[in-house]
Amino acid sequence: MRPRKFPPFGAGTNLSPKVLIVDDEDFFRRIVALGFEREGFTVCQADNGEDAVKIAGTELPDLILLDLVMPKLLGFEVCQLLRNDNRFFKTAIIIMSAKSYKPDFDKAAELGADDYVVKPFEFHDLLKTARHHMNKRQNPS
Amino acid sequence: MMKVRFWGTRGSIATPGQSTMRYGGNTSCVEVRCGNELLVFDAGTGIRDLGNQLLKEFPTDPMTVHVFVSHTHWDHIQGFPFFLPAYQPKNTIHLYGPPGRDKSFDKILKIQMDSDYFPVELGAMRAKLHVHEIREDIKLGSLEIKHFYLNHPALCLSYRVNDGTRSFVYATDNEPYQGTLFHNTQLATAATDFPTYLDEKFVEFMTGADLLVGEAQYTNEEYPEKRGWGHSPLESVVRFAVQANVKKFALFHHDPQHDDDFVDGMVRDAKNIAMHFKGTTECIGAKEGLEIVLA
Repeated sequence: MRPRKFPPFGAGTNLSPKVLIVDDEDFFRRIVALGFEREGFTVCQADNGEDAVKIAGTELPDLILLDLVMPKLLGFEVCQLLRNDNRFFKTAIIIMSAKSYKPDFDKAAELGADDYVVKPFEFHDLLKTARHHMNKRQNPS
Repeated sequence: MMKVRFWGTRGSIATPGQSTMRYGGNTSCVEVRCGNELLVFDAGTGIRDLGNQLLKEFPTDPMTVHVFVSHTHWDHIQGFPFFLPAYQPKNTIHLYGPPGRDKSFDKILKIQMDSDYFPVELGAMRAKLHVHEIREDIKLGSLEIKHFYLNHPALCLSYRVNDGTRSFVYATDNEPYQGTLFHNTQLATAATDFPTYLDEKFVEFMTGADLLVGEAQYTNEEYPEKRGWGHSPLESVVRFAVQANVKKFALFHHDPQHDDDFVDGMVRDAKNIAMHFKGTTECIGAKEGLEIVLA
């Protein structure tokens, strides 16, 4: 069987990792985007789940930060769709939500999210978590 | 004019018995009539009596019922299999609700009536059943039905009905973010205003409502032990209602451990809290059979 081809780290550019930030809260998305831009990431954004799936398909990001409650498609639904698509095998998906209930944490893990961070959070904590999971996805043991 | 009638006011589990006669023992169900539209909020055990009443009102004529489900926890859907109008082919039933985390709304309703749990399958309901997952606000004739996601250990919706002059808000099973986020010590250094911002969005959703049917499950004293269960302490719900300039707040989703006398006390406390916050919101207790006319 031929080995499957995955998008390379940096989505083909080898210059900078690419992050897709999905959140319907404009100010929150922009703050997170600014942080990742400063860290040298290429940043894409979506304010609803449906656009997130479309943009993920064209941009093939290395990292997706996903809000849960959003118009059109919810974060859980987006996560489920992407994890059923082999193109995103090496993409780290991190849920970021203000909801801090155990059933949400458990379901996120069950649907293939790599982590769940509760809003509000310190940016450096998010960055550390993101880098950890991106490395794990790129270099599975 | 909007007419609101309570068929089930209890939260969590039905609590029939002498000690709950005045406020009622059936789980969540509220009927709203506006013009020709018949709306129902939640399908707890109270919907069975509503269905029986509708059979009398529409013995031969077809009826169209719009059932808005806040979320799919038992106490909000368990009455639906006993809603007899749904078994009559002449009727049309629209069911609206949020998707589950990894199951469609439709599938959850079917699972509830799987033969492992119930003798009759959803498919045996011969009315024209239309199941809609809420993805955007809804227009029904002159009515506008908006939705808002609440903070609960399920995907849970609040609804707001506007008819152009009057507005009704149904908001049960919500825990203030200020309650859930700060018990997490990992967040000790995080910004402190974000939970307030999220709670303010909820207040904004309710702003100016003529009637809020809102949960009041716990006293302030009970809440700390129930933190993270997705419900509110009394003080926060009254404060939100006052901040939102709600005209009338019906305390709803009574805890199964609270008997009638206890709920009387909570209503008294709610009035005092509203006065403390210098609000004009009138606080009442939602009772089975109570009808409120928003003229």
